Amino acid sequence: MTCAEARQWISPYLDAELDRDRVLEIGDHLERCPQCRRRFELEVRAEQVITRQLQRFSPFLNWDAIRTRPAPRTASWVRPFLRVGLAAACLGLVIIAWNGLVGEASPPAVQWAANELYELSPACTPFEITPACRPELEPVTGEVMNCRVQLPGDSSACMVVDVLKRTCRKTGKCRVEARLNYGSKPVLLTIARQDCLGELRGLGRVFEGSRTNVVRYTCTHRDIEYHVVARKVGDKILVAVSPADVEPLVASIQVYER
Amino acid sequence: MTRRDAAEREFLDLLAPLRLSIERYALRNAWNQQQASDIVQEAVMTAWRQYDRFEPGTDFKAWMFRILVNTIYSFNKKTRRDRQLRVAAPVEELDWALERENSWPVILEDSGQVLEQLDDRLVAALDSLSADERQCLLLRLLEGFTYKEISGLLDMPLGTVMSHVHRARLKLRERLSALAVEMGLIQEVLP
Repeated sequence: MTCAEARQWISPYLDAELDRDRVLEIGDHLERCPQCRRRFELEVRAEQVITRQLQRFSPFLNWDAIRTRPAPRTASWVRPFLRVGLAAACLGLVIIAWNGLVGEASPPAVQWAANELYELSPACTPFEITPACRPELEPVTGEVMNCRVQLPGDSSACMVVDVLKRTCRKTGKCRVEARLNYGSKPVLLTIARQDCLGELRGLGRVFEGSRTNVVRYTCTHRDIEYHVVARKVGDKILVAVSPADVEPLVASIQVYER
Repeated sequence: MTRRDAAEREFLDLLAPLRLSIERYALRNAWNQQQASDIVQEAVMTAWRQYDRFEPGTDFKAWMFRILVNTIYSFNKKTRRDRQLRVAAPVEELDWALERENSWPVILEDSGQVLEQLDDRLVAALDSLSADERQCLLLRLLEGFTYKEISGLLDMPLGTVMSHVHRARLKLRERLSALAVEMGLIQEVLP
């Protein structure tokens, strides 16, 4: 048995799932090969540490509250009161929704969305990328998102936006960039860096439809103004960008992850 | 005491020593504590409903875990998401994981020190595994089920279980190596 073959069997060996012949074969190899023997010993020790740490947890369940049967149904005399309460709650919700539709967008939601956008790059410090570290900018795996923006009334103007968080290896500073193909012209645009986020937080304009988790703002890059739409979907922030002369349609953003 | 009450008492007695295991397993596979407690509640009710089908003398833990595993599966199906979606950078390519394994021997040299420092991140690293891989690894490492038992619990061929455990270990190593490098605990070893 070669070293490579022996190491191939590490997993079932750790689990004591090998047949007797294979165990003897590996044992024979380990006796002859000090490197493999050491590696196996270390693997066993690492496995113990991992298991111990996975086992460690703080119990949170109140087992006395765990039932073996569904909770008993509410007594019949209570039900009419519950119905009245439910109707009142529905009415309240309708009033709140109506106020939301006709009123201004709620500032706390915007603040919340802005904070969420900050979370995209928590390590950001005042932005400064020097020419020396530019070649070392690397996209961070898993943070590339595609937003397909269907522009109203013109399907040929559809553009794909790649949003990348880039971190400078030298300085550790980061920024969020969008690469968009608009017509035949690819544009690379820095959409979120410290000063831009500051602008978003302080001056970000709120449009209709941004009551929940959508925020829009404008960003200037090389004298061209761009609309930026940041939207929270699940636990990710998705960003769509378009030149300021074309209004992006928030409702038609389709998002998919690579 | 009626016969049903006696059976319930017996069921709860069998369940009592498994409480921590059940709770931990649900938590490691759930989105959050709330979902984990919902899963446990549902699993316990299902188990009690089906308790008359349990054959006395057989392995109650394996029987209970089969119900727990199915409940987790139903919850994920119902909520249309799996814990894995939470991960920012899922490791999808095994080849890539294998390449990154170069840093693993460095960790092995001082596994206690490095892995202890990774602390909670080690648990979070589980998110880089697929649902099947995570279940196989947890059932093996935490609950001590054999490959054959896991194969029965998950309705999966024995070879697939073996391969899932193996792949899960490789991916976990990759993730831990990357985390250790990221946190400056070890130097990156390039292939």
